[in-house]
Amino acid sequence: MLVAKGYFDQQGNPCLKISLCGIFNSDGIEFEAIIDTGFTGFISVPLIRAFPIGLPLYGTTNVIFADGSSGSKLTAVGIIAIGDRRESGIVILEENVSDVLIGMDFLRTFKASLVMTKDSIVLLEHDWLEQITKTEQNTASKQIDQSNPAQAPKPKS
Amino acid sequence: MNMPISNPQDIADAGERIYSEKYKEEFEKKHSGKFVAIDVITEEAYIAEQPEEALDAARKASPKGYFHLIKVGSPGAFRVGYISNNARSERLFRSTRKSVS
Repeated sequence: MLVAKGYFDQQGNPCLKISLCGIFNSDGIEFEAIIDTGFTGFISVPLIRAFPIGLPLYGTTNVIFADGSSGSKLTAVGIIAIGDRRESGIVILEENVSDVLIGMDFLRTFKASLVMTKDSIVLLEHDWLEQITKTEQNTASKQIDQSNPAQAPKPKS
Repeated sequence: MNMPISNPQDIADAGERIYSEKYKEEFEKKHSGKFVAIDVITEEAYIAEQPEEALDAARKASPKGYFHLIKVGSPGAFRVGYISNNARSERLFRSTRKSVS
């Protein structure tokens, strides 16, 4: 059910402790990653902080910045470990930033849903959240049927 | 390949040029939103639903390749939520010659 529990850093950024694994460090090096839902990729890491991990390089890609401009970045392959779970994905290597970011591809790859309140952050298994949503929808539609039987769908004859 | 690869910007430029010349018209009609890894040595394209799938396929087919990742119909494969004031000053991507149009 629970994939991981996050927290807010001193600046109020939603964060998660993750380990990024490569050739030199198969167990991974731990990072405080900011959960950035405005980032569509898996993980973005400052180039200098990737040196000790040993990430195999793939090549390049272009990213679109918030102002609509774009720029080229190096790409590598890396494995993110959270507890017992490990998933591989594309690492974007950034020259001029200091933060590690995890984005929407991280949630997709880990099949996780992000639940955030003003003082807590949890990553839940996506299937589990979908199940709750379906149950809630079924309960809501049953309540509507009971309160207004005239609008309830008629059984097929 | 028309030009030598000597820095990361060359890979990005070559990838964009190859995609534009050989694949863009067809892919934007048929595969909008998918990801394409362009091998800038062989000029082959590897298309998939997800970015890691496109790059994995390219790597398997061409273990010595240099790849540029593109999202069909988009100027970038990924979006980031910040503005890069110094993107053009990144040393790894500072082109040493005029880019190919």
